[in-house]
Amino acid sequence: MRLPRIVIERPEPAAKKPREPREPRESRQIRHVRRLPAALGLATVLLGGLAAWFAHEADAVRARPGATNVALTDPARTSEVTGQVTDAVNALFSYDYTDPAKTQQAEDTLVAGKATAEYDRMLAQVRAQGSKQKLVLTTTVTDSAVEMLDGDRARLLIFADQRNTRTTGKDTTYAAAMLAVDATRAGGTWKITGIDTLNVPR
Amino acid sequence: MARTTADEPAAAEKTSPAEETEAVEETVTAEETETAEETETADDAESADDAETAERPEAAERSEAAEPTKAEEAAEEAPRRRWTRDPVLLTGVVLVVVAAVCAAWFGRSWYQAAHDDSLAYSRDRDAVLRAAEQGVQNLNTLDYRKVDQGLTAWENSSTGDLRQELVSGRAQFSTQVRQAKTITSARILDGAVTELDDHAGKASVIVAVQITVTPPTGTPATKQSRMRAQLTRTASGWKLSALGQAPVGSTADAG
Repeated sequence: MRLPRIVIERPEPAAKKPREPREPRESRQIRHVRRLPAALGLATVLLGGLAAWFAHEADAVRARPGATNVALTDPARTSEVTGQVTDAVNALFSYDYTDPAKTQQAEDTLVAGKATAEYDRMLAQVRAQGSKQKLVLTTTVTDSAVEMLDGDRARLLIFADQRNTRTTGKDTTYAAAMLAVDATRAGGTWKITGIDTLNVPR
Repeated sequence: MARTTADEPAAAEKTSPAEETEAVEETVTAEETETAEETETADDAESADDAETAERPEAAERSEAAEPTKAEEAAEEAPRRRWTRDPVLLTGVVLVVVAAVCAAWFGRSWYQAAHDDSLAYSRDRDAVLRAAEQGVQNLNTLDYRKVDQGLTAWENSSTGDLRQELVSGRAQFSTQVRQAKTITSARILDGAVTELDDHAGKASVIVAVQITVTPPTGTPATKQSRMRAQLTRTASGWKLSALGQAPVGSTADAG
């Protein structure tokens, strides 16, 4: 578009001295045409770098280990899982020789997955000797805290007192228990899906 | 650089010839171009001829451009075409805009994440648990060969009443441990925060710990212990302000 006009005009200004800057102007024009994409490219790279850095920082904050853990940060959920797991542990580790079906029912409704085998192992002795020794075992959770709560999965640390009464011998003993349980929520109910007795090999 | 891109379309809008847009680059300041432009468009071609005699080369160029009135209409299109129709420039502008939008988006995302109360609270919770476990570990570790070092660690892990207690009982305790020649070590089995008031800077934590006491002769005794800890936020982080064992048989009356 510009080029033909320049050719037409050339004879007139050629006579005058001030016309000389034309050549530099054209080279400037070329430089300009080349410089602009370079500037845009540089701006793109800088802004892109900035965006990447911001994204990385935002991700670092959000994806920090523990950031998806809503234990305590979601009070309603924390309270719900604490309450249900506390009740579950109380029911599961209580046994009355006059009503062993109650404990069995608790297992059927509150224990699932790999916790079943561990629970059966823990209760085996009580079940075997319960009726013979006229055993009454009462477990009361004294402390519980949610370690991890993420969606429908949770892990809780639990301290409990176990009162063990053998009616035959009229003796009552107390035992301190500590365990960590994994719980999974299904259909609005938290079930025990893992039992960790925290026994460490010596 | 940004100025060049910004100025160019602006100059194009004012029905100026293509060369005038060039002048934007050549002139020292943008303001100068603006005024030159206005006077020129106001004047007719004659005055433009007069301008040819002007000393400044830029003025000469502009006047020259004003001469072909036919070309003006076409020239009007030219600057616009320069960046909207040039695929390279158009792509460049689009990329810059996209990059700028991304930067703004992620910048906002970072700001929000950094100021998210829930995330801040969860950071506090995790900091409390780390401090509690480290504190319980420290306060259940003592080697009679390094009593002073151990008791200093006790004091550094504690604050408030607990620290007062440890400081006041230090001399006596130090003597006892040296005489008994015991080595106590602890291993944290598990821990979790029961309560956290991040505004008040108070927290409660329960920790399951295995404590091993090694006497000078005989076999080490290992026991598992249920600890309840209270923490208080200090200038140098969360510290234990109370520590004790969860009592056994406390529910005796309940049954």
